[in-house]
Order: sequence, then structure tokens, then C-alpha cells
Amino acid sequence: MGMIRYVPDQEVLGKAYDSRIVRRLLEFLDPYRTKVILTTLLVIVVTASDLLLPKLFSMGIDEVVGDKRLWVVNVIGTAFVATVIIRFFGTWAQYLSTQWIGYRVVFDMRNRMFRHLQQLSISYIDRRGVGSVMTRIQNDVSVIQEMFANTVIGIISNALVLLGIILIMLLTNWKLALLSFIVLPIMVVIMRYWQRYAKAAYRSTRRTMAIVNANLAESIAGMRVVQANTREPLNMKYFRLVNGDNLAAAVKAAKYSAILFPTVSFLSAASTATIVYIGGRFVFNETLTIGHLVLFVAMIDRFFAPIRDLSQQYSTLQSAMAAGERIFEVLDVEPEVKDKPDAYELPDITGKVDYNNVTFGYGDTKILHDIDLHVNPGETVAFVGETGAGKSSMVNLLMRFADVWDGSITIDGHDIRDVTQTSLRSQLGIVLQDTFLFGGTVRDNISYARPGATLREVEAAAKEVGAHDFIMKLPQDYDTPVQERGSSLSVGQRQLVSFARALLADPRILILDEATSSIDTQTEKLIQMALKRLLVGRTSFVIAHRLSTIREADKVVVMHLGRIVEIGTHDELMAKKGMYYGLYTMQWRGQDEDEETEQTA
Amino acid sequence: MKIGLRILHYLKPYWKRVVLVYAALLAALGFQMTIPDLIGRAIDHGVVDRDGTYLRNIALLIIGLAILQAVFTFIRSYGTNVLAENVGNDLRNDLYAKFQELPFQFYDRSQTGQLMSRATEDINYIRSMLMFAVRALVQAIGMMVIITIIMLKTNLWLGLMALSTTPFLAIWALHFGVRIRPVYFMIQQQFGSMTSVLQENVAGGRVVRSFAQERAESQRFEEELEELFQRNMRAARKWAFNYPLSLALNGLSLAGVIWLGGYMVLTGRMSVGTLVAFERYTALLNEPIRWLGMVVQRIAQAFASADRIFEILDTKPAVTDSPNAKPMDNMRGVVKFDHVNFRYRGGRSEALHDVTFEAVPGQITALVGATGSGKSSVISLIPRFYDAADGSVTIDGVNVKDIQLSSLRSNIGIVMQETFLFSVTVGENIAYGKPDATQAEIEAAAKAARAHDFIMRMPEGYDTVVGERGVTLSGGQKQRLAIARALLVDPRILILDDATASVDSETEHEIQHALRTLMADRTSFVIAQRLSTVRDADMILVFADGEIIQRGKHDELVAVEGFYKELYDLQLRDQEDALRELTAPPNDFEVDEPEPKPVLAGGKSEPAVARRQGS
Repeated sequence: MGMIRYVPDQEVLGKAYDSRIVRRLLEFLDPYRTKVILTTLLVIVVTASDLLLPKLFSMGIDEVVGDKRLWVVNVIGTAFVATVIIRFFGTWAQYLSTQWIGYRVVFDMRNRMFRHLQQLSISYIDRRGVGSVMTRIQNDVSVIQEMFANTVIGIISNALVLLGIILIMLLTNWKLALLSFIVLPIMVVIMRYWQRYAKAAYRSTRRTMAIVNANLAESIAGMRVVQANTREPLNMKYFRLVNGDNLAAAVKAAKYSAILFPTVSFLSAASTATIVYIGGRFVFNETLTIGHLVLFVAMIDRFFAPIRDLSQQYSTLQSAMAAGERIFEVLDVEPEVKDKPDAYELPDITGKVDYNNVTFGYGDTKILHDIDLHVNPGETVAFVGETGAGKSSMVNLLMRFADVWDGSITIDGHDIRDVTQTSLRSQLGIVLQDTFLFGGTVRDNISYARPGATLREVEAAAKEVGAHDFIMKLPQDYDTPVQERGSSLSVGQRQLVSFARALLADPRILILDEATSSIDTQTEKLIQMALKRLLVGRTSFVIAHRLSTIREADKVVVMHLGRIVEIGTHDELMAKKGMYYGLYTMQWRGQDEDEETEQTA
Repeated sequence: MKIGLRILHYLKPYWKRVVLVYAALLAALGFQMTIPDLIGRAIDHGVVDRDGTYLRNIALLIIGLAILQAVFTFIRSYGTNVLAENVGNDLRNDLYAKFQELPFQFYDRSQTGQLMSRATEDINYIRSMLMFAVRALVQAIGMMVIITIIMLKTNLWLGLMALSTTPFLAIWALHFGVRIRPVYFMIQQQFGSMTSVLQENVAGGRVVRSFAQERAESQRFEEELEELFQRNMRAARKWAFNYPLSLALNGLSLAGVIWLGGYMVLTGRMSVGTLVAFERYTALLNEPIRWLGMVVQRIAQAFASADRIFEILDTKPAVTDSPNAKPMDNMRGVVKFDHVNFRYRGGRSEALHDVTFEAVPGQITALVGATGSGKSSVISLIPRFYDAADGSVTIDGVNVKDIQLSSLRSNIGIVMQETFLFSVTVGENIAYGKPDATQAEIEAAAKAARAHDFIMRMPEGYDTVVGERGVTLSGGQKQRLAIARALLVDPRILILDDATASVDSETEHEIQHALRTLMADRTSFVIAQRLSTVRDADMILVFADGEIIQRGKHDELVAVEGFYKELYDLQLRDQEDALRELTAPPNDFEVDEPEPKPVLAGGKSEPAVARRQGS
């Protein structure tokens, strides 16, 4: 096989009303309480004026067939026009205020999620995936907007309309009213059944559609692999299959969606027929006026739409609950690393770093065991070891991306857990292996950590790391926009930009996750030189890959399975012929062997 | 209009259904339009004239018509939905087929997200047009025509009064439909802008936190949100005016009907039933006209979508089988470039200039050079991901353009620079190029690529699902799976584009070892960032600006001044020197490490090669 056949059902639908979630959602309305009350009043005005119009018409009918007073007809006509105008302004204000509230809540919600996200540790995003985090802030919040802007008001207004119609009908003629309501239980029963089947059909449509889209997205993203492996015919076959599944599901759902409207309109017509027949007979024996009969016909005509809408709004509420749950799930994540209540600003540091018997891990797995490392200001420390030896954890702990389990890390004697994260990190700089550039210009990227930096400062930093020359060759030099994946810059150039970024931030402590060497000679030279400049005069921690870097380090720290096994300079360690020596010679051994055998042969 | 015709073309296979659906629509509409008239008659002849039988007959007639209307409405509604789903489905299949045909060049230019939105959003717009907009337009026009005729025939003056606001309503609705579009466009743009700030913040989370820029980022995001809010409200303000206005216009018509009609009834010039029927008709008219704006907007949207879809469907694939292309059954794998020139579409300069070389089975050709020097272009021309402009690329003396694409590519195994894994199981990913591979074959390939051990450590071994919905793999693990995938197809030509860039040096060393055996009788091409991996190639081609500037073996190249030597000095020189100083007794370190070779030497672990060598 080789195609996606299953995607997890996104909706955990169930309750349309979860008091816990509703309460928390309503909290978002708190700041706008007066607006909410005002809007509710407007809804009442609009509904009342809407129902007043048929009432006025029926009064008019009775007048023209009864007392036939022209002035009364004129009064009714004027009242009608006045009501239309009131309804116009009421609807206008009501729509505007509901939308305003809806969008404002969305604003607050997204804002809060974003700010909360900034506090969460990077491992949260790593775990959840970029896409999943984004969906919550984009789509789930939009569902809530829909709920606040349309659904809640819709439910209130539909309920009011229903209530109003029932009241008017009962007050006008309770017997005829009760007769007209006969279809109501039928309607409710039909809706219940319909919902049960339709919902399953809709869900299956959405699920099959998600499978189609997942297949499509993957096929497009991996098209080079598909074509290289000549998988086109097979993939087409699978795609037709899943696409066909979706069609079948959609056709089934179409049947359900097609059946509801005619059913409702038939019930409505049947009620109308009943009213015409029975109501007409009531007019014969003068328990009902013609105007009332007309009013009944108009009322029953409006009776069913709110019921139908309410059921739709019910499902919107359901998905809003699910969306709300996902939103609060994010908001409820406790930041793994938090400032202590009495955290203080880390004063200007000299850069003395001490790892004191540090133990650390993720979940149940210990990653670092009892690490003891002491670094003096200005020293360069190179971490060496295999993937998974714990090098990244060492620097992550220093940045406080996570907190130690046991032991402590101090900078100039300050336990990093006692100071604020902002003050800590603003004195720490980092250059990552996978250079991430933000959308914006080259200049924006270099001055990322110091947005106020002047162009001269930016240029100075770029010159220092040797990036100035190639930047000046870009179409708009420092104002050249960089794409997210930075396609206009080569990998090496991107690295140089990130060096300049770190240099401009001028941190006392620098952390460098070195990328493997690049074969672009020119850039490689620049990078090697830039590295030297970057490391000078500050305490540096390097996850090293370049021999040149390692050789110049004051301390080479060899790590294995979460422990420091050797510390020393390159020369000392080579002389020791321990683990470092083994690692170092690893990639050469195979070839040297061959050379040896060739030479001896 | 051409677009309209092409959409119609998609409806052609279903033309019987189209006829049926629209016939049903008109029938249902006809039945619906008689009901207000019947109510009017019931009042005049039944209620006013006190005729019980007449009243009963009308009631029964209403029920009868309502049943018919319901049945036809069902046919219409179900029919349009099925029609729209079918067209959407066909379009999606066509797009998918086209996507598979389009060359690498196309994917260089387009982003996955954009292509996805063609197949999702754009098809949805067309679907919704067929489902709702066209139907609503026909219905609105039909309704207006019928109601106008009925009203004007029944009572000219009252009819004119009832219809007095209709033209304004229609014009306003159309006008609104046109005016609201740019507002929505601006909202979409701002949403995109907000999304990219969010995306960057999430994807670049490490950088944001490292530089302690959380506050500035929050500020930036809030500004985006504020702008989105403002633009949303701009649309809301337009709607807030539009909806009540059309309601009010209709309400004024109703007021006119009641006033003038009331006066007519009062003076005995018209029956009360007619007045009631008029009120009903005027109320009925409100909805379809209000839709008009939306309908026009949706149709315009769908046309724009169709335009984008057809643009893709009309793209001619640059690389296709020539009419006389032949399959190649027993490929040996002699690859020859003869004065090849090549330029990327839209590229400012030639990506390859006058490239000539030959590679034979059993030989490893290494390509070295700076980024953009032409290495990747060379290897892309062999499986015809692109076509050379001048000169020829031949395999066993046959121009690649004369070999059937599928047979050409199935003889080539490629490990690309960026590893792509599908969200299926590990085993299926390895067997991607050979879906009928047995478990033993898959495992053998995995072992050769040094992937077996970490796969076995996964929760469900080879059945573990990878990707977003499954386990996450490290860069090195992904690359090893990609190598296993390339090995499983047992290709005659093996291309490794920086295949070991993200594995650590120990694993790289192991993979190199394994590969050396595998490359034994194949034609192999290697691009590597690290010189250590290309050192023992049979032929090293050094590229600069699309030309081969140096060629030869490692030892030959380091002996002369030039690009290669420079590179060597930079990357390997001191490493080797240091090693030479220190590796005085070379056997010291050899004993304490298990030798990786025996795993392969057994032969059974790598059936693909063993089989070929045996034959």
C-alpha cells in the first residue's frame, strides 16, 4: 500500500452544552457586559417589530372588511411604515453589535493563546507539532467566533420568535392555535430521527474528505519521490479509491440534506391547509375574524424556519464546545518553566557558569546523570559525543528551556531558576544548527534581538562576521526580503546572517549548535573566521562538528549516555587515547584501513 | 464565458440529470406559486361566501400540491447535490492525475499549500456554485417572472405598487455583491498575514525564546489581530446595512400593498382574498432577491476558482514520453553526458554548460562544488526530472529521451537531499518504489542502510506509522529509511544526493561501509557536503558555475593547486595531519570495535545485490 487510509476523527462531538466550557467561554464576554445586554434588548425590539407587521396587516384586513374606516387604514399603514423603519435600525444596530462582540472575543482569545504560547516551553510545540498548534489558534477560535457572533444570538432570536408566535396564536384563538400545533410533535420526532442519521452521514463525509485531502497533500509534497519511484499509476488508483469513498459518502449525505427541507415545507403547507379549513369554519360561526385567519396563515408560515434553524444551531454549539475544549486545553497547559514569584533580574554577568551535580530527563527517561562542570568567564567549551549523548540537553538547561531535576546551574553564582527568564536569556545568545530566518528583510533578521539597532550597528555586526559583502550584492542589500525558508540565501549565507544576529545581541554567554561543514569553500572560509570572532571575549558553549572549533576550545567535554566521560583540551584528550580519540578517528578509520592494506599489498 | 463553457463540459456526462433537476425545480416552483393564490380564493369564495365544501376542496388541493412540491423539491435538491459532488469528484481526479504528470520544474515554482487550495477551496467554490448559486439564480428569476405575471394580471396598479421596490432591491443586491468582494479579499489577505506571523512564531519558537523576544512577538501579533478585527468590522458594517435595507425595502412594498390594497378593498374595487394573496406574494419575493447579491458573488468566485484550476490542467508537462520511446529491459547503466547545456526555467544563467563525462557500472562518481554549481542539476537530468537543452544524456548509448519514463526511472534509485517520508508505516515507506516487496526484502534493505536496529526499537517495528500521525524520526533516521528505499528497488543506477548529511559520523561511517558493497556493480553518483565521503570515489567531478573545472581521483586532485585542494585544506587537511601524528600504531583502536563488515559479507542480508550478482 502506501496511501493514507485513516485519519483520526477530529470531532469529539457529544454534548452541546458543557457547563464548564460554557462558563469559561462566557468569561470572555465579561469585558463587554453592557454591549451584550444592549444587544439582547435590540434582539427583543427586532423580534417584536418583526411579529408586529403581520399583526398590523391582519388588523387592516379586519378594518377593510369590517368597519371600513379610512382613517384607521391610514393609521395602520403609518404604523406599518414606522415599524419597518424601527426594524431597519434595530436590525442594523443588532447585527453590528453582535459582530463586534464576536470579533472582539476572537481578538482576545487569539491574543491570549498567543501570549500563553510564548510562555510554554519549546518542547510543547515539538510534541504537539506546528500544525496542530496553528489549527487551534486559527480554526478553533473561528468556530467560537461563529458561535458568539451568530449562533448564540440566533438561538435567542429564534427562541423569541417561536415564543412570540405561540403567544400571538394562543391569544388570538387558542383552539385554532392548539390545532395548528398538532404538527409540532411530528416535526420534533422527524428532526430527531433525521439528526441521528444525517449526523452520521455528514461525519462520514467529512472523514472521507479528510482522507482525500491528507492523501492529496502528501502526494503533492512528496511528488518528487512519487515520480522518482514511478508510483503514479498505483497512486492514481488509490486516489480514485479514496475519492470515490468520499463521493459515496457525500451522495448519501446529500439524500439526508435533501429530505429535510421538503418535509418541513410540506408540514408547513399541511398546517396552512388545516388553518384555512378549520379557521374558515370558525369564521362562519364568527369565533374568528378574517384578519385573524390571515394572521394565522402568516404565523404558521414563519413557525418552522426557527425550529429548523435551532437544530442547526444546536450542532454549531456542539462543535463550538469541542473547539472550546481544544482551546482551553492549550490555555490550561502549565508552562514547564516559570518565573518564581520572587524572581529577580539577573544583573550584568561576567559569564562564569557552573553545572552543580545536574540530573535531568524527559518523562521517565533520565538524560543527564550527575553532571558537574565549571566554566570560567571567557572560556570556550566544546561538547563532543554521539547523537543522544546529552549535548543538546546541556545547552537547553542553560537557556532554561527546561529545568533541572536535581542539582543546579548557576551563572556568576545566581541560580538560573531564581532569576527572570527574560533577563537570563537577554544575556545569552544562541546560534542554531538549523538557521531560522523570519520573514522580513535581512536587516530585520540581524537586528531581531535588538529591534532598535541602527543600520550602522547592523552593518558593523555583518562586517564583523564577514556577511557584509554578500549582503551588499543582494538586490536591495540590507533591505532585501528573505523568505521563510530563505530560498534567496544559501545555507552558508543564512548561517552568517544568524551569526551577525547573535553578534549584534552581544551576549555574555554564547551557545552555538554548529552545523556540519559546508562545501561552499568561500562561505566555509567565512564561517570559520566568523566563528572565531564570535567566540572571542565571551563564555561559549559549542556543540561542535568542526575540528578547527574543537581544537581551539579551552575545554573539550566528551559526553556519552548522559555523562561527562572526559574533559580536557584537544591535545590532552588525543594523548589520552580514550573515548575522544575513538570518536575522532572513527570517520577515518575505514579509509585508512583500506590505505593500509593497499600499501602492504 | 469560456470558463463557463468548460464548467459546462464537466456537466456533460450528467446532462440527463441536469435536465431532470431543473425541470423538477421549475415544477416545484410552479406548485409553490399557486398556494398564495389558493389562500386568496379560499378567503373570497370559501370564507366570505361561506362555502364549506369549497374551503375543504382548497385545503385538500393545498395538501396535494404541497406533496407534489415536496417530492419535486427533494428531486431537485438531491439531484443538484449529487451533481455538484460528481463534478467536484471528477475535477479532483483530473487535478490529481495532472499533478502526477507535472515535472519537477512545476514543483520548483509552486508551494504545496497553494496547490492544495486548488484541490480543496477552489473545487469547493465550484461545488457550492453548482449546488446553490446556479440553482438559486434560476429560482429567483423564475419566481420573479411568475409573481410579476400573476400580480400584474390580477391587479395592475396594486401589482405595480408591490413590485415598485423590486428593481431597487435587485440592483442594490447586485451592487452589494460586487462591492463586498474586495472587502473579503482584504480580510483573507490579513488572515494570511496573521497566519504567517503565527507560523513563524511557532516554527521559530526556539529563536524567539533564545533572544527573549516573546514580548515583541506578542506585540506584533496583536497588531495583526487588530488589523484583522478592523477589516472584519468593515465587512460587518457593510452587511449590517445591506441586510436590514433589503428587508426594509420589501417592508415598504408591503406597506404600499396594504395601504393601497386596503383602500381598494374598502372601496369595493378588489376582494379581500386578492389582497391577502398579494401580501403573500410580496413577502415571498423578498428572499430570492436578497440572495441575488450572494449568488452573483458566488458565481464570480467560482469562475475565478475554475480559472485557477484550468490553468493547472492546461499546463503541458515538459517531460513526456516521446512517441517512439521504448522500454529498457536489461539496462547496464553506462551513463554518458555529451556536451550538455541546461537552463532552469526562468533561470538567469545556464545551470550546466558543456558538461561531458562518462560513468560505468561498478564506478562511483562523486560530484563536488559549491551550492548552485550544477551538481544537483546533473543528477536531475539522468532520471529526466528535467530535460537537457543541448547535447545528450544517454544510458547504454540510448538517449534518455527515447526511453520510456517509467522504465527509465524504475532502474534508478535516488536518495534526495530532502528526505520525504509518507504518513504510512515504516515498511511501506521502504517499499515505496516496490510495493510488492516481501518483508524479508524490506528488512534486508533496512539492514543494509543501518536502519533495521532503530526500526526494531520502535513500538510496532516495521508497522509503526511515521509522520504527523505517528512517530517522529530524526533527520538521520529519515535518511537511512530513504537509503533503504532506494536500495530495495535494486536499481542499476544509484544516486545519493547528500544522503548522509544529517547522520552522525559514526552512522555515516557505517552507511559508507554498507554502501560500498552495494555500489559494487552499479553506476553510482554521490553528492556530499563532507569530503570524507567522496574521497574514495573512482572519479571526482568538481563543478563551478555549471562547468566541470577539475576531474580525477582524490590523490590526483590534491596534488595540484585548484578548487579541490583548497577545499581539502579547509576541511580535511588538519584532521588528517592530526591523525597521522597520532595513529602511530594503527592496530591499537581496531580491536575494541566490532567490525561492521560481517553483517553484509554473509550475503543473505542483502538479497537484492546477491541476486543480481548471481544472475
